Amino acid sequence: MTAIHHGFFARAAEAPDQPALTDGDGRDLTYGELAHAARVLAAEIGGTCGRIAVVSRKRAGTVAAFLACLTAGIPYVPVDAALPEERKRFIVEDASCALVLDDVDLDALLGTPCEPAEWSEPAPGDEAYVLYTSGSTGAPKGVVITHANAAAFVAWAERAFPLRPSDQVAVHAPLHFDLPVYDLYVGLGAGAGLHLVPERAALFPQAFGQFLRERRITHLYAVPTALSALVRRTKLREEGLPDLRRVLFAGEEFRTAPLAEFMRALPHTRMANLYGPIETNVVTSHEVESPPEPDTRIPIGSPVDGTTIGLRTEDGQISLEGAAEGELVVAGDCVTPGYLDRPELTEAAMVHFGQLRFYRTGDLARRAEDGTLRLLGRNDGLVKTRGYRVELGDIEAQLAAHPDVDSVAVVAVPDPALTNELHAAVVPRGPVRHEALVPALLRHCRDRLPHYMVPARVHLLDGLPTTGTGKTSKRALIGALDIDRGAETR
Amino acid sequence: MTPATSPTTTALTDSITGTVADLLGITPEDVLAERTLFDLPGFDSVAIVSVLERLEDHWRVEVAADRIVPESFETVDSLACLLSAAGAEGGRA
Repeated sequence: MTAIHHGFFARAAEAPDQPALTDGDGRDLTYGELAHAARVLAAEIGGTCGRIAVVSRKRAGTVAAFLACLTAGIPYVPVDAALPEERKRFIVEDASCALVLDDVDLDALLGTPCEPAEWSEPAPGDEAYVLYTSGSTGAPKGVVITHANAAAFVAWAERAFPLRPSDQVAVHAPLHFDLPVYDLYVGLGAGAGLHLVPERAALFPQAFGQFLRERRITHLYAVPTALSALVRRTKLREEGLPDLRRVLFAGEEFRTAPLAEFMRALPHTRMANLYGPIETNVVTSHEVESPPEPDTRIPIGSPVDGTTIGLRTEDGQISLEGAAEGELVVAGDCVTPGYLDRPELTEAAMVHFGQLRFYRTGDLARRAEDGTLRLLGRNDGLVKTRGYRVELGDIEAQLAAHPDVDSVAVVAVPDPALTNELHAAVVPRGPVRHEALVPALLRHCRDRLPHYMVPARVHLLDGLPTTGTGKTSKRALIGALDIDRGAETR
Repeated sequence: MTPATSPTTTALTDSITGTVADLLGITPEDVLAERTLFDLPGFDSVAIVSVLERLEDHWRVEVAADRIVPESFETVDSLACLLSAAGAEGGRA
C-alpha cells in the first residue's frame, strides 16, 4: 500500500516550484510551499492524542491541514464551516477530537523553518480520516476511512483517470466530501495544478464557467446538479470549454435530458459516471460515450479494480454474476471498517456471504447479462438532493423535537431542475398561529441542519395519510401536498 | 441610476426583499438586516436561481446570462440595478 499523501511529497521534492494550488482568496502555493506548510503544521500538531477536527473551507489552509494530519499520522475529521454551530460541536465531540484546526495561518507556517524529520509509515488499518454523513435518527454518523480504504480508491483512480503535471484540476465539491479525495490525492500525487473553485463562483454557473475557462481547467469532478447548471442560463454553448478533457460525475443520478444537453455543449470532453456511497468511495464506473436517449437511465457501469459487487435478493442470497436484481452490496479493500463508535449501525450495514464481508448500500440495482449495473431506487429513507446524501429521518427527528409539532413526515419530491426537493408535512400540536409556525420551523431546521437539509417548504396539515398498516404513506402524502412543480414531472 | 426615492425603485426593492424573504422563510426585516444577501441562511445556488426566476416572471424581464454573477446578487440594491438594467423600471403591465 502506498499512503495517499506520499505521492504529493515525492512531487514536492522533485519539482518544488511547480504550482500546486490556487484558492479563491488569491492564495497561490507551489508544491514546495504546500509541503513546507504541511510539514511545519505536522510538527506542531504531532503528538496529539486523538483525532483532529479540521474546519473545512474552500481554502488552501484546509488542504494544508489535511496533509499535515496525514503526515503526523493523526486521523482528520473535516467539519464543514457552514454547518450550524450545534452540529459542528456535535461532530467534534462525537469524534472525540483532541484539537480543532480552524483558519490555518499559512503565512506563519511558511515563515517557520522546517526541520527535516522522519515520518512514520501508516499501517493499512490505521484511520486516515473520518467523514460525517446524515444519520436516520437525527444525529450525523462518522464513517471511518482507513489508509487501506483511501489507498484502494486512489490507486484505481490513478489508473482509470490518470493526471499529468500539465493538467489543471478544478476542485468544485466542498472539501469535507469524498469527491475531492480524487482531486487532492490523485491530483497532487500526479503533480497537477489544483484550483479551488471559490464558494461564490460555485454558486453562479456563469461565473463557474468563466473560472473553468480562465484557469484552462482540464479535469472536473462534480455532482450532476452543478454540471447541469453550467448549461442552464449561461453562455457555455457559445463560449465552450476547449481545455476541458475529462468530466467525472457522481453523487446522484444525472438525468438523461440535462446530461445530453451538457454533453452536446462539450463535444470534445470525455465523461464518466461514477457510483459509490461514502462508506466505500467509488465502486463502479461507466464511460458515457454519447449523449443518452431521453427517458432512459444511464448505467453505473461495472465494478472498479479490487471491488466485488453483489446483488442481494430478499432470501439473503448474493448474486455475483449474470442477470440479477437486488440490493447492491460491496466487498473489497475500499469498504469502511464501520461507523465511529456505532457498532450496532455497523453490524446492520454489513453482511457476510461466503468468505466476503459486504457493505449494504441500500440501493436497489439490476445487472444485465453482460455485467452492466443500473440503479433502480432505494429501499429506505435515504435520498439525494442537489448531490447531497440526506436521511429523511434526520430531518423528521429534528422537526419532531420542536414543541409545537405533533407529527411530521418529510418527503423528497422530484423536481425537473434538481434531483429532489424536500417538503415537510407537519401536524401542529394544539392551537398555534399557523403563519408564525412555518418560519419558526424553518429557523429551527436552519439552526440544526446543513442548509441542503432544510425543507424547501413546510406544509401544515390536520393529519398525515396512512397506509393499511398505520404507517405514514409518503406516496399519498406527496399527492396531497400543494406543490408547485413548474413543468409537470412524471 | 434612478434615485432611491423614486416610486418605481421602491416597488422594485420591495418586491426583491419580499421575494427573498418568502423563498427563505424569513421576514423582510431579516433580509435587510444582513450586510449582504450571501450572509442569509440558505441563500445557495438553488435559492439564487429561484429568486431570479420569480423576479423575472414578476417584472416580465429577462436577465442576460453574463449578468448572473455574484456582484449582481450582493445586496437588494445590486439586484435592483440588475433588474432595472434588464428593463424592470419600464414598469409592469
